[in-house]
Amino acid sequence: MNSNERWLVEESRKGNVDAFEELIKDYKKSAYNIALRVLRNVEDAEDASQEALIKIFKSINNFNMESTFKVWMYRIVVNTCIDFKRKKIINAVSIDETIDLGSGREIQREISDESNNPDALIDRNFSTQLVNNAINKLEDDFKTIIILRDIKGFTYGEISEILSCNLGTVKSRLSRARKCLKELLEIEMKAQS
Amino acid sequence: MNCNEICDKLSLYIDNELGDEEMRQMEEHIKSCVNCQKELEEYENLISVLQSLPEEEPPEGYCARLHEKLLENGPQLETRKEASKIKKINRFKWMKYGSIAAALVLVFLVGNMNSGKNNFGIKSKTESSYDMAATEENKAVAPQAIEPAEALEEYSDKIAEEIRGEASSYIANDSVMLTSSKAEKEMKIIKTGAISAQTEDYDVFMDDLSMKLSSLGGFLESNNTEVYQVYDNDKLMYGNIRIRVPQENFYEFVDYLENTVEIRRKNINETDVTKEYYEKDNKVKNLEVQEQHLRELFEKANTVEEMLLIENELRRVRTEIDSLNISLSDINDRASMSTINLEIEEVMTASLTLKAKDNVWERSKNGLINTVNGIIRALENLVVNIISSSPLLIPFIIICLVGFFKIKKYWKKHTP
Repeated sequence: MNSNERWLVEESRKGNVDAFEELIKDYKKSAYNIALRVLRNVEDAEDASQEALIKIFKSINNFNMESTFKVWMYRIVVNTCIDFKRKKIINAVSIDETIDLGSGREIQREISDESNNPDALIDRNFSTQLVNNAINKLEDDFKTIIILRDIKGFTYGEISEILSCNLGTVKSRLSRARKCLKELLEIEMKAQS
Repeated sequence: MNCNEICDKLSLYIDNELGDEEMRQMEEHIKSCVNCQKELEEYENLISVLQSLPEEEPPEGYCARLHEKLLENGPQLETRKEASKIKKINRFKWMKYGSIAAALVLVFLVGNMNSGKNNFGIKSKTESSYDMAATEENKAVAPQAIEPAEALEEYSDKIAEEIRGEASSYIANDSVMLTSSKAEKEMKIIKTGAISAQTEDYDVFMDDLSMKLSSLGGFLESNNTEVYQVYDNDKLMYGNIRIRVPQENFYEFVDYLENTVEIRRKNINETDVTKEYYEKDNKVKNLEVQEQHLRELFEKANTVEEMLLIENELRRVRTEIDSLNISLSDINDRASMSTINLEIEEVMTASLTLKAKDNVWERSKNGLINTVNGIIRALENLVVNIISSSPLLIPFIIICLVGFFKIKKYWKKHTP
């Protein structure tokens, strides 16, 4: 935790909104993306991620500077999103379905298509769309650990802090999650071909 | 290491989370095993795809909306400790209210159970107060009884002299005033008893009692009998009886009671009223002498004025004599016939102590049955009380609820 971050936290505690926004500048996008992966709905993702960020701002006095701010805030984001999902019984939204933005407007989910980029895909057997489909089918525990480890790149130690579980659990859960994801992906590929 | 084990550890191998020895073994195996090599490649591909998954941009206006919300919600001032304290308080809140409610219900139930047994409670109270009165009476009486007989005689002599002096000056005649003769003095003692007892069969006892009384020359002065409890089909009677017996048979009668019923409380009192009696007796005798003289004077009277004066005086003396005579006869009556107040109570077993043949199991069974009956009765009473007090209770509850919500609202407003 660098001194700049520490200073921003101190300022945020005094109620300085600008300082807090500076503090979360780099994280709010990934908070939104975590919410989107868990909730699979643009509106819910916005609501949940903002709820989480407000919760972070409100309870910043409880942050004890021992862990890094990043780890602490991701813990709140992950917990808030899972709580949000529990409260709201969500109909499964497939990534290739249209997304309802309300008031009758429907849009097609935009996913950057890397198939035009042959260099990237020649070695890879999986397309991103297939991967997204597979991730969506994972159960929440596996999904969060995949997001944290492989998408966000947290270390095992950080993950154990974010999820409040011990290192052994992280190792075994991640193994099982990756295995499960690989199997789901194979099913997806078979279904496509 | 076989291929399955390798597969399980591939995830850790990729993340470099294995020990040195294990890493070396894995590397060796993967070099030699085509399947595991393929598996590893698949995992690595998957992870690299995951790592390069594009992040979606938050919708338009996301930051602006967030900014607004953040302005509305400042950081809460409470520290972590305070927050946990509040949590704790909240957790204990329901326990607090719950325990208060439970305590109220309990008090209510116990109150009802006691009111069911009210007969006992009140009776024991009156008994105790009576006891106190009796002991006080004793204290007051005791010094009188101890007073030596000489003092008494001296006192009466003095009075007699006084009266004699008065009379002689009044009458202006040296006639002889009679003083009380000491020879015929007889002790006047009033005996009273207060006894409360238990019997197993009220009617049999009452028959027996009246037979005994007639043989002793006593009588039942009053008899208040009531049913104080009903058990199944048995009525339990309670009687408050006033008995008069000749004073010489007083102790015989008390003995009889002790033998026939279970005495719970006995209070026997002897009051010496000899002094009081002879004082009054002397007064009467002197007044009679005075009356005699007045009559003689009356005959000698010449004027109407004189006659009227003497007549007035005569009337005063006569009234005094009459009132003294009444109290004398009352003392005589009380001294010759002793009074006993008997409280008799019919019970299932003539003692509160349980009989020895009842073992622990029996007793606890009885106790349990009693408690259960008490609870059922108390619940019945509770229902009756609630229904009967509903005209008061319902408005009260409504007021309480309104007040509660008002306070809650107020707190919500005034806490950040």
